[in-house]
Amino acid sequence: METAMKDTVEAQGREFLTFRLGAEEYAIEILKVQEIRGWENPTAIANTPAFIKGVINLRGIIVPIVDLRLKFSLSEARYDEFTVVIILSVARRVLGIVVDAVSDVTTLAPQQIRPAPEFGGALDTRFITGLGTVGSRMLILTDIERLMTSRDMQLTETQHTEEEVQS
Amino acid sequence: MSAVAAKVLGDASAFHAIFFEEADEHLASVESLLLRLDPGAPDAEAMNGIFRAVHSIKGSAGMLGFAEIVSLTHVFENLLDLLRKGERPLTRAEVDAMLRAGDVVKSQIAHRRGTLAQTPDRSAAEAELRALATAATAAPREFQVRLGPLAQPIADAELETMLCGLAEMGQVSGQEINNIAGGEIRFRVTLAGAEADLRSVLSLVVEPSLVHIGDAAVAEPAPQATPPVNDESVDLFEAPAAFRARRGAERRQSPGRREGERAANAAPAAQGEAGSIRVSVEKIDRLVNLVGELVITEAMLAQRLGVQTELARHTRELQEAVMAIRMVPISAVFSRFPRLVRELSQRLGKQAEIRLSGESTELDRGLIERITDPLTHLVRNAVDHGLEQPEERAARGKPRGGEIFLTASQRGGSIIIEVRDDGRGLDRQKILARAAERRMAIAPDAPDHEVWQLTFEPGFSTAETVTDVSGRGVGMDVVRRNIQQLGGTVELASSAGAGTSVTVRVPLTLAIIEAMTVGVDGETYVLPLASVVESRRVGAGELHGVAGQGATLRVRDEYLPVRRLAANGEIAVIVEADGGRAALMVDALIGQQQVVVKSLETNFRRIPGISAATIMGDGKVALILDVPQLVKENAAWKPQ
Repeated sequence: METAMKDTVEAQGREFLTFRLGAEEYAIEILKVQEIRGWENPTAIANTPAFIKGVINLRGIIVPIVDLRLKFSLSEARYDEFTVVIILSVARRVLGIVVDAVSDVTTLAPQQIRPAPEFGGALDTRFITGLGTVGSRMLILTDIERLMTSRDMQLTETQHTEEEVQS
Repeated sequence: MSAVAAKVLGDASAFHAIFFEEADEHLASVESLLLRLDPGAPDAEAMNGIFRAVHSIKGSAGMLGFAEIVSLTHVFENLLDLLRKGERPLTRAEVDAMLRAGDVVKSQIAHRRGTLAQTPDRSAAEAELRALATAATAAPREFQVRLGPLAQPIADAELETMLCGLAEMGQVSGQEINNIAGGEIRFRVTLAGAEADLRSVLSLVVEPSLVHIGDAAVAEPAPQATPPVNDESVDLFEAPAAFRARRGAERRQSPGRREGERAANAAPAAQGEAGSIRVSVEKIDRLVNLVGELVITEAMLAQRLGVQTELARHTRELQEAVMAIRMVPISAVFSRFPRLVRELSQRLGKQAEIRLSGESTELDRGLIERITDPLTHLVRNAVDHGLEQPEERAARGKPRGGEIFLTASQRGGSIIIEVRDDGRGLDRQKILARAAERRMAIAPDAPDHEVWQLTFEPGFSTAETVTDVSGRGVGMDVVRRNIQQLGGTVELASSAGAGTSVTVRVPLTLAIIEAMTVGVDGETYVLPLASVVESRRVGAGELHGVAGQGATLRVRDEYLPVRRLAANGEIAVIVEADGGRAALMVDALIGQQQVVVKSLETNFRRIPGISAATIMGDGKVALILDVPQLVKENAAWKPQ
């Protein structure tokens, strides 16, 4: 039964949330997204890199906020009423990312997804699972869980040691 | 039947979880009741309690089809049944066997739960229980009975009835009747019943205190030849009788203490009767979180409306009530120690009794889990290092059996737990010698408390031999670190020859702390109030730079390291941790309040210099500073 369900999902395609970061458009699995919120000033934390903006109170939960624009030095990081935060639920953690703009929710069928070539984008190819095509748009399919738990993000401790062992 | 039950229940995993939890509780109560049992004069209520607990494990295990648990608990139950009916005297051997059987059941449950890989071997435990149970019924024993010295002669008719009655129960021989005032009646009787039965029959005729019963096998070789001098049965007869006589004497001497013990025994039973329901911890934690939210929302509302409402009081009361759900009596930790002390002292050839008090003191369940290891360590230390061997104690004029006192009490927002022994105390010279060996700086005439402080250093141990109990020197520093992580303190006091006392002080709850809020560069930070010594305004000229070392501030006669939290802060908050102090420079003092501690690590990670976070009245997150770390190292805080 499970496989049957998986088959239909495969056939119908999977849903992705797409967002803009600099000149490129990225897509992340919708199931990893908990909600989208407006910007509120987080509480800054000393001894952390600048792209970690701090922590916010999300209904009683302390949630760290990462500005991906700063992380990838892609665009000027301005914070106003148009700034959006995507709250993710990855690796049993809740965290928020700041991007330039959220575009839409798109369904991608398997035939719309191509393997990613080696290319010099802002994002390391380790975190790219493929490229999606919707009309003239090219979406960079991102393994957001792997990205957020990676050592460069400095968001977690557990992944640290794992990555250190690998490298 | 079990197969049918299993089918009716369908997927039994939910029932399994309930069974495991209940069985754990039953086993814990069996163990604590067993340890409290007085061999020789077992408390009937306690025996029944043990029986009921074992019986319900057996029943539930049967329903779930756990055949191996049923098998063992069945044999267990058989022995218990004999014991509680008095058909077999309770001795240490039975108690030990039952404790071991309890352990096997425990591992059987662990196995069923999936936390133990291989099936525990129950055959030894079963054989042991079975042997004890059959020994009682199969072999009739010969008892040596002595009644007297009689205050007055027993009426002949009564004497006759008694002897006839005994003859019906078994075989009476070797009668030696001296039925006059001051005389004695002796005879041997062989019967299958328990000593208690015999005693109760005899007590119908003579004063219970005049009844002396012993195993004939160990009785006087020639009863006629030995004139009865005082009460030689105490020395001659086997353990139960001797023990009973001794306990009887103790009871007469100190009725107060016995009553205290009885009251303590009664309390848990009363608690058990009170209605209760089982709720998962996640549900309670969610409740705590939601109420925390409510408190914050209420504060925001009050701020916006500018009026004080009843709502504030209600929410605060609600919060207190919800926090109280998380509170667990410390007996949850204490209950393991009687067993530990019993086994440890047996292994080390020592005699030790543990005395618990304040077991009903409540603290947060999160703390309970984290305080268990340090306390276990302290109790082990007390038995291993603190108490002397019985001979040594006797030579010093102390009772051969040592005592360990474990007490808990609440004082304000703290729980104070004391582990005290009446052993040899800390050896000042030995500690100083060891310190010198390890090149630790300490003046030879340093006050005692500074010397004791050395034992908290990593790798410090004065034990001459490393046993499997302790002495590897990984002890006290770990204890102190664990307690400090809970925001607590550890203190040592000792007097040579009279014993050592370790006092642990921990906050009531980890979830809420009394805090001081300070302003730093436009952000609000939180300091645990317990660590704040004082605060004051500091003039520019008061800070003295030390090249490459940052600044220092002179407070009375002490130069304190300065941590600049705020770039231009002019207010110094003097904080203390681990016996060290530092001055934190901040912009403003905001206020004092209770804050709900929230972990940063749930969704994020540890940040140097920050211990946790909290949510303030305006809904914003404020960070709680890690004072011990700030005191310890300057590098812990680098302003952005």
